[in-house]
Amino acid sequence: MTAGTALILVVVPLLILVAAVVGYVALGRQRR
Amino acid sequence: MSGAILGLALYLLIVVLVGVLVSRRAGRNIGEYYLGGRKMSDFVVALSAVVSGRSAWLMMGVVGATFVYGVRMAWFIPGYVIAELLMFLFAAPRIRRFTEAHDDVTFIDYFASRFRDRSGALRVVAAVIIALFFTAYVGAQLKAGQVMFGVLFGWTSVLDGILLMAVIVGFYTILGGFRAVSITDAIQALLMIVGLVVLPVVGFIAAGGPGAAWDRLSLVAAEEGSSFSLLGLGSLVGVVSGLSIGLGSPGNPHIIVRYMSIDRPERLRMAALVGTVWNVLLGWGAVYTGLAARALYSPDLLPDPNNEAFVHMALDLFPSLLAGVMLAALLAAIMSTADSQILVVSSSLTRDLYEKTIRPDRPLAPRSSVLLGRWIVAIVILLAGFLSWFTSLQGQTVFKTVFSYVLLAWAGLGASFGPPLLLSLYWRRATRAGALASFVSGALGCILWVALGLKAATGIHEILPGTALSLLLMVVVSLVTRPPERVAELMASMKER
Repeated sequence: MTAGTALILVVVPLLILVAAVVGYVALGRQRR
Repeated sequence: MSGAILGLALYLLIVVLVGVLVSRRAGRNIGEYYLGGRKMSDFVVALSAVVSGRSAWLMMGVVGATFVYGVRMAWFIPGYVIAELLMFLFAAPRIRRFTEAHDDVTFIDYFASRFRDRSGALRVVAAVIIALFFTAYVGAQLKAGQVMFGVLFGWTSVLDGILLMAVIVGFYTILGGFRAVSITDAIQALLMIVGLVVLPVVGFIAAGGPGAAWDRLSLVAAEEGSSFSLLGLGSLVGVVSGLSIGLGSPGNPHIIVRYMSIDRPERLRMAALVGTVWNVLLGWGAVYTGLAARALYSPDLLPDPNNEAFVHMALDLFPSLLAGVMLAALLAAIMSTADSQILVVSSSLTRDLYEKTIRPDRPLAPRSSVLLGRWIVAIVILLAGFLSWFTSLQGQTVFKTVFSYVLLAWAGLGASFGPPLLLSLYWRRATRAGALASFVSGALGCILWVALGLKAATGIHEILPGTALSLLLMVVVSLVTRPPERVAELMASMKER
């Protein structure tokens, strides 16, 4: 698997999941 | 085969039952019928918003396109997933608070309140755009259902499949309204996950495991060569066009109304998390399914490989009852989108066009209003079915219908309503005239870009020029028209108290 294929098939979806968790936690802190 | 039909029938029975069970409550008033009384939970809103946006386009279109064109189709996914995460976290709570404060029930109600549209011009133009694009969008979904029934039952008549789809979706949507549509969406979201996670895993195993499957894909790719091979990443224009699909998310009314229906705005944070996990699994699941299908089948072995990859994999790889569940997942993708869209068209025509514009001083009784809405649901489905049947008679392939028409409708709605919605949430200087110019230019920009052959010539997807034009006109026209009055109080109703 080339770096490009790995990027779009594996890295991008994982990064988005991390972003969702970060967004969830950050907005929760802001509210408190 | 009979087991597959049984699995499918069980699923349909559950969906229809939900419609019957919530029908009495839905009939009380339009707040109940079109917004579920603003009582939806974070899970239902998250799943419903996500699967309403992901239709047959994902399960037939993306799976089929990846089967044929390979990995580069994955660029279609991240744009909308990121856009919807941001919408859930930032825009959705503002929309939810504003629409409750102003008792807005429909997507267009929001614009009418935000821009104090007394003439009804915003309502009329928005209702026409919604009716136009959604009828085509629903038509494409019915067509996708017809293809599935065709493979399953061996039906050769196009009309039978379209009619069956129309009757099923029509039944529970007419009866149960938004609540039925949202609850069934949540059930459908579970099925779609099962379909798009289990199918590629089983597919890769059937192809001899991930390693062997990948070797096979690499072999095919090597035969094709260049960056347009099966494993190539495509051109820069292709990547940008794929990512730009996300520009459609803020303007598609069937997604936005789901934010308005949540019981408490604070719960949208959880909806963001759940919705994004679902979006990632569904999106990349579709890409992996397409790749698994390509490792299993040669394109010349399937009669219509673009659309049938998913259906054939389900029937070939699973015992019949489970194959039925897989097919139910495909049907779920189709139905969860079509039902939400039909309801938006019905609400636009019933409330925005008829009640608020044609007879604003003679309100209908709550139950009559719902009755009218139910009739309009039936008419919209019939129109969409007719359109679907008519395009089939013209000899248009399903791939064209499902992949291209859905994207045109998605782009047209996104370009028309995305820029004015986002600017209206954060920019005090936005005016009613700006929004009107934005509505019209977004829709026309997308249609003309395709009709004049500019899409074919440049390879740039219509959503980019359409959204750019809509954004430009929203800003320019707002700046040259008179600043709106008392806008601070409007903006205040979007903030957390």
